[in-house]
Amino acid sequence: MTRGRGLGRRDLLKLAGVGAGMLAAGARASTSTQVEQPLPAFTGPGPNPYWNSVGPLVTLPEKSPLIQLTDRPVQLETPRHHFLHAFTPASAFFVRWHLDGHPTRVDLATWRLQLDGHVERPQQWSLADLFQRFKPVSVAAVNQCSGNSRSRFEPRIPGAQWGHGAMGCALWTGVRLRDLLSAAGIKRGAVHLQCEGLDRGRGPEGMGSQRYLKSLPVDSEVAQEALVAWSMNGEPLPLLNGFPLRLVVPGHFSTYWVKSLTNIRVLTEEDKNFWMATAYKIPDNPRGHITPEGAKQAFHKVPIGRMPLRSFIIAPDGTQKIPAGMPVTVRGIAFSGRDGVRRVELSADGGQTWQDATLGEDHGNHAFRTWTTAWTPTSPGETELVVRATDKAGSVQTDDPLWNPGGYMMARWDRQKIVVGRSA
Amino acid sequence: MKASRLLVLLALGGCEQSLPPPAPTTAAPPTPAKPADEPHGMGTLRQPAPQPALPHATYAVAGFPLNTPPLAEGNDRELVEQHCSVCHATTYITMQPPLSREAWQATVNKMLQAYGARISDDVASRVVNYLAAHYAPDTRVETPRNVGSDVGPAVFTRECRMCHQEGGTGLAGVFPPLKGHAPLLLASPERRAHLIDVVLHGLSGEIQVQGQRYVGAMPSMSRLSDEEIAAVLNHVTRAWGNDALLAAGVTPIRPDEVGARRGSGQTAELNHVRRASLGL
Repeated sequence: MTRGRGLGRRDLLKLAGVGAGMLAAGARASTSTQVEQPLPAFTGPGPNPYWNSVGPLVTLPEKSPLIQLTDRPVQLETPRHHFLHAFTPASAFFVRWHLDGHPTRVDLATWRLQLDGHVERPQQWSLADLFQRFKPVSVAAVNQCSGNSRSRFEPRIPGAQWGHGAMGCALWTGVRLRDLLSAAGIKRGAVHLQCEGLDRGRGPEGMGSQRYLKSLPVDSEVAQEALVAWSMNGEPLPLLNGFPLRLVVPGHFSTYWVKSLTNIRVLTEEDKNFWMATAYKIPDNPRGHITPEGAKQAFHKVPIGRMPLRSFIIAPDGTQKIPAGMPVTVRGIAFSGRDGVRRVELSADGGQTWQDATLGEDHGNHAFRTWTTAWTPTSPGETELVVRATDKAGSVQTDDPLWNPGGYMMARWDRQKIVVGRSA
Repeated sequence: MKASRLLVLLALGGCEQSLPPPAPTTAAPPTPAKPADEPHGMGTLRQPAPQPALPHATYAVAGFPLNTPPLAEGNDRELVEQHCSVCHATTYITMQPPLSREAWQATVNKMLQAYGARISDDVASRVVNYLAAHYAPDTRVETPRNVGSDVGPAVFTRECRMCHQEGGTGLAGVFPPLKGHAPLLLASPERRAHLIDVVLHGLSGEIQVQGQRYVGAMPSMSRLSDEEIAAVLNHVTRAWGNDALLAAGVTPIRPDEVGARRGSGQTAELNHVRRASLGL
């Protein structure tokens, strides 16, 4: 945007005083929460150039300021600076609901988790029952929206226009799904575990716009690993993140992490509801890739599953000019949907040569792995940092073209433009 | 302050109602609170409220306040708001990148077929027409999301009202009315540039508006930001019934249009001279 003169902080304060928040903090995504320039209302038609999505910072109950994508139902993105750490605070954790009737109140006097369907002994547990009757366990795991980074696809894809902040890592504490299933006794012939929360939409009965339902296969690694969690990072779940209980499916995208969980139904056939049979499906290949041309014909789709290997540069974030010759610490995170991260490398020449980063503490194969590395810019001008990760199975993150009609599974290299200034 | 007190009050009131939620299997959708006076950009005006100390098993918050920016002005805007807002806020529209008519058509089809939206074919095609007319690559304009609804009136009250008067009625003989007149200044590209120039660089000398003489002086308002000037111009050209006088297809003034006129070389005197050539 061209302007006849700069817009100073004093002006911004004045504008805020006008009551508009038209320049609400959060401005450019790549500047995290700094108020530096007016928020654009949208990005496109090209890819979103910012690290986060564009949107005003809003403060909703139990949450710290987050970037608003939508207000009803609520979708909020976590600002970039929160990812300097391996664990994302509950208050800063991203929010994504599908149906606008998501709970604002839960009375635990009447609330119960029900487990029924094809089982020997249907169960109903209060939250106190879950605390007392089962062995609590904790797992550090990344929860990432299937459409995280959707605004980075080209051509652009309709849907929630997430930047990179529809993800977070927490220490989830609760009980194992399999312990609950043992208590109920699954009968032979069970196929799917259908999970449902308190949220309801205004669509017609029987349609995806009325109820959000997701299922896990009964005899699967994922069902074995899943938790029914009541806390994150030692705090109760905020209502916006699924109080009192949510499914935790380590390694899998958030679509399976049903929030405000109240019902688990054991089905004797495959779940054919909209959210399983139609939504959240990807092209049937490991990266979920298809060309826009190829997608114009019918192609084979499968339900989205494990998350691909990803890595991000968090600092420096491009808002500062770095003097040539000054050693700086480049910091970020990486994570994998299955094997954990073994190596992170940084390139300052567009991916021709790479230097190893030092990995932070290993919180488990499903957690964020922080990384740092020293980098000294040599000559003034614009340069670009690029990061890639390698998982413990030896797979290296690639930057090959990636697209699909849902805008899922983004996993290309993260890049950060850096301006290097003269130091004398 | 007011907002956070409201939150606490709502939370207290909600708890006292002792409304137990229905059994989990038949839970009705809790309706989010919609404070009518919710200011835009609330993030800068709110802070998380502490929970009140009430000894029961209910865990509650007051609701999730709405913060929906206005949709682009145009034919069938209300129709779009009415039908799309049944299930979701229209932030689902404003958040999107510019999308082709085909993409909007596909999106509306998805709402009808996948989600069961009860919308007639006629309404659906009008919704697609509206979206393509305002939210496609060749039609979408940068109107910062919270500008126009609050900034414009606020700038008018602060900077313009003392002369142009409440309601934009003007003051006989001195300050011309904006009501019934300002939209005419958007009737051509030349007039549009002139309107911006008058705000940026002022206007001096006798003029006639709606058959009445005015001998006043409009000062330069160039100390206002591009965003403020665009917002106040979009306000005064639409408020007080002026929107009915706008020529078809007139788009809101963008901040970058204002910025581009800062160096136009116009002065209060030159603006007066040019005014006659514009048929005003």
